[in-house]
Amino acid sequence: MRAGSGIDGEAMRFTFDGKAYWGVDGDTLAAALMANGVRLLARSFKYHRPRGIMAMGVEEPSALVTLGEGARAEPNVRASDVFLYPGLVATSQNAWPSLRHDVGAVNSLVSALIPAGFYYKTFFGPPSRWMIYERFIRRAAGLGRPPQGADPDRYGHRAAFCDVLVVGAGPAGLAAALRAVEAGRRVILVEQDALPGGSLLRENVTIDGVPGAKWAARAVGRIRAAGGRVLMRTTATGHWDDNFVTAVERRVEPGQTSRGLAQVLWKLRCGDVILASGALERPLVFADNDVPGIMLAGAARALALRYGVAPGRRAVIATSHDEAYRTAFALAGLGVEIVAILDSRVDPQGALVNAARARFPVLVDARPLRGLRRGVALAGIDAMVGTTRRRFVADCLAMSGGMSPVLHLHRQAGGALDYDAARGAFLPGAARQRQTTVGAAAGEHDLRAILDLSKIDDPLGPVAPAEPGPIWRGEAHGKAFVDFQNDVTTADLALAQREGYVSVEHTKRYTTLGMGTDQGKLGAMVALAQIADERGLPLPQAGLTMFRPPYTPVTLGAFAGPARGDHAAPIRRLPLAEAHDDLGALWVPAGAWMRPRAYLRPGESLGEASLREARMVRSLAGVVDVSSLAKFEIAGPDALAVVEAVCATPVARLGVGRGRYTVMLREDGMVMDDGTLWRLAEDRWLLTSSTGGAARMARHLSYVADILLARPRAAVINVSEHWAGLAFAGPRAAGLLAELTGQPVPAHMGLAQATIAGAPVRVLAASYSGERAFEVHVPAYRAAGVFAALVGAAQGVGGGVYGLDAMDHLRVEKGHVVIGAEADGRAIPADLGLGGMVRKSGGFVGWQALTRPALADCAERRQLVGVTSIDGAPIPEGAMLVVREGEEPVGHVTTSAPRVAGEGAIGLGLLVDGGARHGEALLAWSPTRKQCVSVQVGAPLFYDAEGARYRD
Amino acid sequence: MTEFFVSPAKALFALDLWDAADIVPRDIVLPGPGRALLGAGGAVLRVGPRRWWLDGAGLIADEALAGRGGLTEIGGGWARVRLVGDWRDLVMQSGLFDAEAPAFDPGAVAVTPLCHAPCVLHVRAQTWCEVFVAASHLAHCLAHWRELGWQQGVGT
Repeated sequence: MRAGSGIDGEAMRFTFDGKAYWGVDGDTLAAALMANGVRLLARSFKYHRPRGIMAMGVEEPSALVTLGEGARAEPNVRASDVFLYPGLVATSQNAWPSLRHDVGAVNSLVSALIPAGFYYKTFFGPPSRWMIYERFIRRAAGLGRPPQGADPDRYGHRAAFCDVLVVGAGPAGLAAALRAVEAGRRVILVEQDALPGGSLLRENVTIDGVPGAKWAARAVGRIRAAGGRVLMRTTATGHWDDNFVTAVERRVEPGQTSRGLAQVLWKLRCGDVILASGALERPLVFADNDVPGIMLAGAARALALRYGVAPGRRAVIATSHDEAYRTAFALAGLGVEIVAILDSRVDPQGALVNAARARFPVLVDARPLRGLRRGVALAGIDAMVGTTRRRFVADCLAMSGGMSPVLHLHRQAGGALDYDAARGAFLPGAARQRQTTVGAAAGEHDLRAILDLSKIDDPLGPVAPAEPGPIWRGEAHGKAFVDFQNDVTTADLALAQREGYVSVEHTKRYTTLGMGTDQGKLGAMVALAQIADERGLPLPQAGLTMFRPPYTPVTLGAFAGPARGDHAAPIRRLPLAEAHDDLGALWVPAGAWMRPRAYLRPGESLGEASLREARMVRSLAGVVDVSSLAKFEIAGPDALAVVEAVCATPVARLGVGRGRYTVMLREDGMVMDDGTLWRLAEDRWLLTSSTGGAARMARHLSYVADILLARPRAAVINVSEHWAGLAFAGPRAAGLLAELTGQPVPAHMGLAQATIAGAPVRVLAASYSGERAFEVHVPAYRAAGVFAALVGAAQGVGGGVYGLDAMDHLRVEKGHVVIGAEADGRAIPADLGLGGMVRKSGGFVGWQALTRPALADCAERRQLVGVTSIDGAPIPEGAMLVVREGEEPVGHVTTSAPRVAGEGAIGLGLLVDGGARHGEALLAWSPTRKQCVSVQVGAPLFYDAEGARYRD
Repeated sequence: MTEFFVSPAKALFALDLWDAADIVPRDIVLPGPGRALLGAGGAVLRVGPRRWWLDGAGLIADEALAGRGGLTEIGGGWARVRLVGDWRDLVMQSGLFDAEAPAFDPGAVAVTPLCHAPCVLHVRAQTWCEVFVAASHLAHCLAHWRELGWQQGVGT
């Protein structure tokens, strides 16, 4: 066990840049490296300056490393936010050839050439110059490299609901969670650390007679025992509307192999949210304030008290308030010599200050001017004490420039901020949601007040509220950093102001302030104070940038969760999927569905197979699976009113047992979908519509019934999946079907009940192919036998199954429109040649819109036409229709296909004033595919214009 | 044990009453919102303001409705999946639904998407739950649940 710490776990071997070290279970990587005397952990983003540990939490800006190897490697991990595990492999970033001897450090020497905004200035001049700059800029600056292989880890999503969510298991969070859970409320407590306790882990306090860390662990036990859920290593990353909070739980550390899920994204729906997210310490601004060995006072204290690691041998404490004094006592407890405490206040008072004066040299009106470097480590501090410059030899500077309450989630939830001038900090103002902020995040600094029911023994407390550090006005030569991660200095902020980027949002983008992976956690308030000083404004008037989720970086895998690979999107399978597989189906996604595209024979191309299948239907008989079509039954005394409102065609006179083609419109008069409408009984209808529009049509029907008709005495039942649908088409279909059912087939657009292979079926005589055809509907769980019977019958006469491509070829030849292609959301019925079908009496959705002059006069609108390839070459689908190459398009090809009944290529298109341009020659021009085909415009009907083949 | 058992829903009917839910026929006992009633012939589940599911043949005859509503067969579109084990955790990994709510107890019904698929949950006991999954989504859901460590049991 390390002296004075809670670290007493197993020893663990790990490597950093290939060199082996030993740490202890419970160490962070940062603590373990410090324990091994490693002070240099990283190179900075822009200037490649040597960097060490600055903080001991998620706010660490500089000590970023890559964890793990190969595809599991995770770049930009904060060394202070990863806990040691056996075999951990850490690698430094942004340094070549080595971390100690980094060629990129030359950037520091030419820093005058690359000030803030230089990146944008490289855009000036010819673009070709940027192509040269880019290579160097990208190579010179940067963070870790992302892994190239597929992420081998698995990620999960999990929902949870609670009465109270508490964010943060520090003393305030634990107290709040205990109160809530003991009051019988459903409580979830999330904590980003591996241990509960928050600030208690870096203080020597006892609560109710036990050390703070042990009290925290017991509190977690009590919360769990009372039914609360406690999620450790879980960071609340986003606070959204309606108290919806997202949190990421790390089940293994970055780069660590997991047997189960590596991370889980929790989706938390909360009654109340209590934010006990603590406060972050601010750095002091002075020249070269980034030398390894300079760190936050709280980080130094955590190293000492939590991990038992001395951050140096001789330490200077520099502060603007009381709390950093605690660090002096903590370090002294490990034998560190406290060279001096530099307090920027002129006359600090209080028990803690007095106690420190009794043990350490306390210098008031004192502050650091410059960090002195020897090699890559701190050698000393130049300071201003009163009006005197003094130099202190030290290898550690523990600094504190005030505290910034963590208000990210409060702001994300829409909460207001109140500025506290004494603290130089924003505190939570009015909340917009059922959310409160407690503890240090609310500006509370007295543990006794936070834990009002507990007996606190804090020999060094309480302390006074933190005051902000002094403004830096360039009193010494050197870079004074405000954003350590993106190498933004006070000079950069001043330059941005001079160049007109005054708004803090502009300053941010011009200088990259707060745009790193740490999102300015450490530097934002310090920078605001500097900007306000530069502009001569009170700090709140300098502005504040947005707080956007996520609070800490979230790996993309956690967002994706289980939705990867085959699960990236839901896939819908046909009820006869296995039967199609047996027949050798080539599958194609159609919306969320997988549908057979064609059934290839050995040696056959897709095009050959599709054309063969289409010709089979034209000459014999074929079966195609149309189960994915939407099907709705509308039943009840007022069913006709629903149908009349939805369908734009006449329906009232449709007799029982009869059907007809119909179109459905949006309220703006555009065609939304099409299908067939069948009257099953006097007060029961069946409406079919397109596969891709099924969900939309279901919503539309609900809207019409529930909203427009205000709940008629009718029900809309989605039976899309109940009925499998098999289209049986071809000149032999009627005869074969009659044999199978043992009864006469219905007339075209007629309906019959029948039995096939012992299963009750509905036979709907409708044709999409242009041949005599029937849709056979059968309950899906009985579809296999019916499909086998139909396919067997077709095969018996030389026919068989056909797929989507063949179906498409057939319908193009007949000029049938498809939703999405021809009916692309911009077409009214008349544009598609369906104007004559529309019910003249109106009364359907979209009817009023059709009477608008802009729609009533179709002359200038794009209208459906057929196009025929003049030389027989295939017509590029989606090609523009132009008079000459390069001219403005007058239309476009919506679908193309080979001729089934004949040779050559045909297509459908939408053409301005197309109805009046039959016979005209145009070009189907696709510059992106470098294709141009001469086409002749004609009627959108290439086969059996009389309709003789599909009628009885 | 974390197992699922799959079978077709088969005899499943939608019962729609034309009038508002508060005018439920007095001679037909129907469960209230979010609940199910179990009988000898099967279960009746409330799945909408004016809609119930009859899980079993002949639970209510068309004639009994006497024109006040209608029955529609829907069983072909749904698969029945019995989840045995920590089904609440599985449900909450698959969707955004509070299956851990104390009120979501045996007899409770919920209509909610799981794995992006339309689903109807019927809590049968603390240790098992019946989920009706839209048939076309079944393979997708089962594959997802297998990845979460669930296994398909033998039988239904």
